[in-house]
Amino acid sequence: MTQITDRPPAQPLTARGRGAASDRAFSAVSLAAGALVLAILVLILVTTLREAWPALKYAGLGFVTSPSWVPLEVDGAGPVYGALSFVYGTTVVSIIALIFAVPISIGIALFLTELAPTRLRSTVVTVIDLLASIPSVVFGLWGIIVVGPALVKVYNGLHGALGDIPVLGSLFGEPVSSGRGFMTAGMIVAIMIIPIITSITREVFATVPDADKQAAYALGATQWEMIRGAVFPHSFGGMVGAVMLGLGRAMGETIAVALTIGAATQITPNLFAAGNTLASVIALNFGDPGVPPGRSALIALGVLLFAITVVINYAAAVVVRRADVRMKGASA
Amino acid sequence: MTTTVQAAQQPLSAPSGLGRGSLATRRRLANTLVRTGIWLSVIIAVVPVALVMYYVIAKGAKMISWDFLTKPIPRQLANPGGGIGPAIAGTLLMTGLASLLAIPLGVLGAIYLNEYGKQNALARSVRLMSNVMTGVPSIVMGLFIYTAVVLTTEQSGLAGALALACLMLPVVIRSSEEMLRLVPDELRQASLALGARKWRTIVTVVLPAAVSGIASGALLGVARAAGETAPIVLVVGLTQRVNWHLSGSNTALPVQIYRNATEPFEAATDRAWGAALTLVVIVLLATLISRLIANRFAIKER
Amino acid sequence: MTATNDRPAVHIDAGWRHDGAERQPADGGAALMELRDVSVFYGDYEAVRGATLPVRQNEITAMIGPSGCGKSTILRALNRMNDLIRGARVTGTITYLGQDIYARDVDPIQVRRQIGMVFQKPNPFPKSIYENVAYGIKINNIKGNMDDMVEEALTGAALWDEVKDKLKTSGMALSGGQQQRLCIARTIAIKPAVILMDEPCSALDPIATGRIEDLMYELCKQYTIVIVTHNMQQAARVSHHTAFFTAEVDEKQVRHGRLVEFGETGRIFTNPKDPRTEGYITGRFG
Ligand SMILES: Nc1ncnc2c1ncn2[C@@H]1O[C@H](COP(=O)(O)OP(=O)(O)OP(=O)(O)O)[C@@H](O)[C@H]1O
Ligand SMILES: [Mg+2]
Repeated sequence: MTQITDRPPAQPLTARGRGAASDRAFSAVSLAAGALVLAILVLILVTTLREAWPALKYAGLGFVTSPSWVPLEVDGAGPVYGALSFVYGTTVVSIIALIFAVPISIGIALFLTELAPTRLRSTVVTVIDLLASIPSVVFGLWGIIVVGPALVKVYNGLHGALGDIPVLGSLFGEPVSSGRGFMTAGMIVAIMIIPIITSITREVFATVPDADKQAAYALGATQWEMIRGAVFPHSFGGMVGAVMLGLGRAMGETIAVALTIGAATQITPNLFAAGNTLASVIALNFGDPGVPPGRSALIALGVLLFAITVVINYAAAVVVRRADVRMKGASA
Repeated sequence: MTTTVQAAQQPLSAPSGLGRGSLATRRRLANTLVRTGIWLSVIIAVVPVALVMYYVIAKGAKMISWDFLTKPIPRQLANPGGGIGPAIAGTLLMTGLASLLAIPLGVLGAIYLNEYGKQNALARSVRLMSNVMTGVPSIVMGLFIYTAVVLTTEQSGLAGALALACLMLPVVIRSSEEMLRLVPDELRQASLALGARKWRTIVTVVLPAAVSGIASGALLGVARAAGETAPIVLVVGLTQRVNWHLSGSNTALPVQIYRNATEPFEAATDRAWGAALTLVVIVLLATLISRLIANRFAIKER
Repeated sequence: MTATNDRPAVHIDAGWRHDGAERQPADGGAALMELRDVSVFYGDYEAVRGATLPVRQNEITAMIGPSGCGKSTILRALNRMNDLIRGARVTGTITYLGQDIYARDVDPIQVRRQIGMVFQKPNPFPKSIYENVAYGIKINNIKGNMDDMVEEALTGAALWDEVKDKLKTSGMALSGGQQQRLCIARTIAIKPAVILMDEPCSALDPIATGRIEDLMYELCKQYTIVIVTHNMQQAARVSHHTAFFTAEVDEKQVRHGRLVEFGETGRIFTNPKDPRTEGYITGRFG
């Protein structure tokens, strides 16, 4: 029973060769694929900045301080490229979108984590997924054909009721007859950023330790008091990150805004007036950019938008990751 | 932890000067209000989805016919007739090519992050930057391809596919890394202990174990890309005829929806709804298949 | 089947373990592997310090000792699985058939090819039973009839009779004990010289454990086995030689794993030389 059976004679342990090389090749290829992300981001900046340069040089500081955008020669005067109106439009639309989307998203996230009966939960999740998968151009189509015209009556009513009050009156001014303007665009964008804010806040809420919630309930808290005392403080960082990501999306949303904002270059407090955002003005005018360096000027708007959204998304990613680390630390 | 408990105490102890009854009523009222608000927010979110779907189906369905899906696009959008055949072809061509580019590269990138780089400086910055890249507006990606590709070549389906691939890449990387992370380390060790090289372990053990999750995530990315409009508008140009070539002007469903939506004619609006229904069906099919694959994965995990 | 019938004999006749004649393999236990003054570091932390012991051919060598004393660490050092842990280092020499397995030009893949490993938690691949066994054969380009080799490995792991009708089903669908035998089959399919086992039975019930023990006894006729176990009866039942490790605090108040005593299993359990070994064995055993 103790015979030593024939084993193939032990091979030398040093048989390297092709095998080890293939390992190195594979890791190099995968590293290259990973680094591609960094390369693309750098390339975006380099190539767009290069094309934007003529317009930036032409417009100078006026590019960010002037509110007027005249891409034509008027009476011998050259074109004017001032992005301020579009920065204003982007800001207004994003703020409107956040005002609508943030409470609703937090509500949905609370519903999904705290309130929903199991069966309803999956239905609501499906609806939100559906919302996330409808292309933005379809929302734009719906906005321009259905929502805008329908909202004009509401806008008119609000204008009639509030138009004479000093501050509110200027916000709720005369609407455009088609209903296209900051408000309509803002509301459409709100719908489109609900899924991303919801999904992140929901993840954050889900990581609140059960012990904290139980502790609040044990003190006799109602559900709302529990949410305020245990869920919100714990998830504050993550919620901020979610809102910032939503803001980034809102600022970059293009086609739905282009269809519903009414395309006007102006700075006005009137939320029902037509305007333009950085993204929408590029999409609307790229096919017909005016006299040179018109196209370069539109690309310059893109560079501005890129810079703003990268900063916001970078900050959001950092905030979410911090919150993530802290929560994992807390629950581990 | 301690601050949390204190915070929870505050609302309880603050109104201690008030009578018991009024305190209970106020608290109950606040609670009811908030619960109502939460339900309301769900309803507010459901309504637009329902409305959009209703309009797309109601107005789009009557447009759908074989002719509509296959005929060339009319030169004058104001005139009735014609179809969206070239747009469907363009969408399939561009999303197809974009997937062929972005999915393998994205999966490889995810392999780098999860299997090689892990927590080193490069991997951490790639991870952070792909999060940032996910947030780069699609119109900017369009401008990038315009300045980097179109200016030196021409407006083409290839340029469109490249733009879509750039948009998909970070999405695929992130979702694939998530899935690779779920593969238990024991499997890698088992394979390595059998004398497998790392790359063979990754290709023959790790990837197959994560394949349905990766496929599901990638398909979601494909669905997103199929609905992208802004970059396509900038870089592919326009055509009325089916163009299966990567060179030369092309078009896509979202572009046709956009163009028809801006025309104030009924024929154009109808065409827009018909194209919207077609696009939504394609996107939802991709999403549904992705869900099915993901569910199968979930069961196998258990 | 025969394996189960053998079981009672193993239990009752504890004598075979302590009977030197039965234990001695034919070649008198030539050392297949040798550890000389081996220390293993995780970063700056020296998890095991200065272990010296032989691993004799066609024997079962058991490693016992309290939790955290570095048994798994040493075991992983034997087939360079520690290479996969960032910051892990080995000093001293570990030789296999006289070759230093940590020499510069040694390919860890070749080391693992000849020194296989079975893990604490059964970890079959999420593939079919057949594919699980065939995997290593394919990876290592072993020539021959695949079906025959798979059957041979499964038979060798005493699993063939139980799975021969469902080779196409997933390896994950087996019971824990069957999964562990599948992992053993997977390992012996590539015919390594040494099989390292890290607490292979700790996730199994006594019956499944018994079957694995019988299997190890059969396997050591063809293979050399090193097993880490917390179960001292198990070490006493199956092994020929036993290494006892413990964790000790050095002058700087840092804990290190140390090899306290190595010897023939019968002697270690009946007549330990070191009081620490005796304390550990009687504390748990008696
Ligand atoms: N990957 C690692 N990184 C850093 N330290 C480690 C690592 N693995 C183990 N250690 C440390 O090395 C020491 C020995 O660990 P090891 O797992 O070898 O112990 P063990 O004897 O196998 O214990 P057990 O019986 O519980 O399995 C322990 O102090 C442990 O904390
Ligand atoms: Mg151990």
